[in-house]
Amino acid sequence: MRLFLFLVGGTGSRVMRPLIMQFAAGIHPLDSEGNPMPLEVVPIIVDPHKANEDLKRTDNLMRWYKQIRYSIYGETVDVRKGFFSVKISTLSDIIPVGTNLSDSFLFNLGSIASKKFQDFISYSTLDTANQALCSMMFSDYQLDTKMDIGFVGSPNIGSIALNQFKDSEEFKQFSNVFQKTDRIFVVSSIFGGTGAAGYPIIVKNIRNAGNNAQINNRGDLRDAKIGALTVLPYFNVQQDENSPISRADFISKTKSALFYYHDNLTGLRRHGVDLQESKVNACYYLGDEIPSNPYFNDPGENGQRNDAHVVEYVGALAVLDFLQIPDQQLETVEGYAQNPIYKEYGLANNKLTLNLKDFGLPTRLFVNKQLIKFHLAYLYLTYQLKEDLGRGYTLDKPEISKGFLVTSFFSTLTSDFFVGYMTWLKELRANQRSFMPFNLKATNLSDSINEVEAKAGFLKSKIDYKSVLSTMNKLSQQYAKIGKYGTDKVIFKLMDLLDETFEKLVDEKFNSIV
Amino acid sequence: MKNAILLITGAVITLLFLLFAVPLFESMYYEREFSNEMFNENVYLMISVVTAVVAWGVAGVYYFVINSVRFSRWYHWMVMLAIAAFVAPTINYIYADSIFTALDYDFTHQLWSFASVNLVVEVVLFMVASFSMRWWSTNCRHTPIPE
Repeated sequence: MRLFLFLVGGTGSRVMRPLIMQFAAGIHPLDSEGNPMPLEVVPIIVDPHKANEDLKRTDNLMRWYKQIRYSIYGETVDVRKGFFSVKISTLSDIIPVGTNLSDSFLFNLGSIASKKFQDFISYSTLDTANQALCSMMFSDYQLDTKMDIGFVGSPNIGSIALNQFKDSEEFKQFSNVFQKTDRIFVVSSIFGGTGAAGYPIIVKNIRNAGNNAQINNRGDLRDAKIGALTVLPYFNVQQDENSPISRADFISKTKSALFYYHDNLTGLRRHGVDLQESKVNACYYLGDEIPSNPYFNDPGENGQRNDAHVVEYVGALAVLDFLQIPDQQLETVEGYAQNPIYKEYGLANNKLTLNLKDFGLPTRLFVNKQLIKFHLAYLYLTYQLKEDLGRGYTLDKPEISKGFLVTSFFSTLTSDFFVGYMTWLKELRANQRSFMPFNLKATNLSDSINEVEAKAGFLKSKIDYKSVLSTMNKLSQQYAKIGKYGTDKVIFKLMDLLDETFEKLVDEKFNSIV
Repeated sequence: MKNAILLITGAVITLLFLLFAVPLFESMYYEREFSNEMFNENVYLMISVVTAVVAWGVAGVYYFVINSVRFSRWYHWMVMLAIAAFVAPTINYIYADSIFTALDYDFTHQLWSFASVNLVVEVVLFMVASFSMRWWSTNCRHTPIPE
C-alpha cells in the first residue's frame, strides 16, 4: 500500500516526528486478519516556512530514516516486519526518471515564500475599490507579511496563497503517479494559519481533480480515499503583545475553522441542510485541554522550535489507524465520501504524567511491544554492540567486524537518528502532559521501561546484555544454516537479529507490557 | 557439511590415537623398564582412554553445558584446556602409580616425565575435540578462534 501524507504547517511536521519513530520501531498497519501490511509512505511537507526548526528536524529525521531503511532493505517495499521496515520515499523517488522535481520531502512553495502577501495578490496594482476591499479582509500586518515565515496564524491569507497548489509541478507529478489503491492523509492543525488553510485547499484540489485538465488520473484522484487529522489546540505560547499569535485566539480560530469545515469539507451543507456526506473519508480530531508548557512565542522569524508533545504521538497513530480501515468503508462516489468516519481519542488514564500503559488497550496492543523492542535495540546498539564485536553472532557469516562501527549506516543510525530519538523522548518527558515511556537515565535493559517490571526468579536472571547476546547467538546459528543473510547482508543481519531477539525477550523477560 | 566433516575427522583422529596409543606414547617417552611395565600391565590402554574421555568430556562440558556468553572468550577456553591438561595426567598418574605401587615398583621420576608427555597429548586431543564439536554450541562456537 502507498500513502501520500500531506504534512501541513508546523503541526504537520511535528506529527511526523513520532510517526517516524513508530515506523523505526517497526510498527505497521495491520490488515483485517491482524497481519502487518507492507507500506510505502510519501510524505509531502506543505509549509512555506522552510526555516521552521520543527520542519527541519522532521526533514532530517526522514532523510536519515530513508538512508537507514535503504541500507537495511534496499528499495523493496514488500517488507512486513522489522525496524525501519516501512518505506519512506520522496515524491521524486516514485516518479519516472528525467522529471524535473527536486529530491525533497518539501513541497516547493518558492513563489509564495519569497513574497509579501500584498505583492502576491498584486495589491499595489488593484484599483481603489479593490484595495479597500482587501483592507477590509486583511489587516495591515497580514498584507505586510512576508510568507517565508508561513501565514503567522492567519488562515485567511493562507487560503489564498496556497491556492497555487493545484498548478504546481509537485501536484502534477503526484497526480501522475497516484493509483486507485493509494491513500491520502492530511495532517494539519486548526488553530494556526498554514494548517487551517492548507487542509481544505489540498482536499478541495484533489476532489476537484476531475475539473483540472492539466493533470492525470483525475477520476482516481477525485474518488481517492482521504483521511485527515485535525489537531485542535493543545499547546500554549508565551504571551507577547507584539506577536500576532496568542493562545486566547486559539479557541475562536478553531471554532471558525470548524464551522467552515463543517459546511464545506468534513460535513456538507446544501440549501441549509446537513448532508451525510463529506469530502473526507475519515476525520480524526485530536486536542488536549491541558495546555503544554508555554512555548516561546515565535511567529516564525526565529525558526519556531516547539518541544515534542504526546498529542503529536497520538496524532501519528491516526495515520496508522486510517491505513487499517478496510477499503469498503472508505467508498467515495463522485468526490463524496459515502460513509464518512469521525474519530476522537481518549486516554485510559487521565494523568499529567503518562507511560505506555496509560493509553487504551487497542493502542497498547498495537504499539507497546514494538516501541519497547526499539528502545531496547537502541540501548544495545548504543551501549553494548561495541563490546560484542568479535564474539558469537558477529562472527557468523556475514561477519560484523569492528569496521562496521565506522560505516555511514552506523554513523547515521547512532550519531544522527538515535540523537533525534533521544531528543524526542526528552522533549516528551519535559512537556505537559509529560509522556515518559522509558527511563532515559537507564543504560541497562531491565530498568529501561517505566512501569514495566523485568521478570526475575529462581535460576532466571533479569534481562541483560548477556541474555541478548545469547539469544542473538542462537538465532544467528539457526539462520546461518538456512543462509538467511547470504554472504553480504551485514546490516540486515544485525537489525533482523535485534528485532527477532527482542521479540522473544520482551515476552520472556518482562511482566505484562500492555 | 563442513562441520560434520570436522566432527568425523576429530572422531577418527581420536580413534587412531586409541589404536596407536602405545607407539605414540613410547615415541614421545621411552624408558626401558618403565615402558615395559606400562605395556605389560596394559596401563597404556587405560591412560589413552582416560586422556580421550577427559579431552572430549571437558570440551563437551565447555561447549554444551557451560555454553555461556559470560564464558566464551578465548581465555575461558584456555581455562578449560588447563583443566583438561591437569585432570587427565593427574588421573593417569594416580592410576599408574597405584598399579606400580601394588607391584612394589618405584617409577615416581618416570611417571612425572610421562605425565608431562600425557599433558601434551591431552592438549592436542582437547583441541581436536574442541574443533570437532564447537559449531553446535550456541554461544561458544567461535571460541577459541572464529569459525
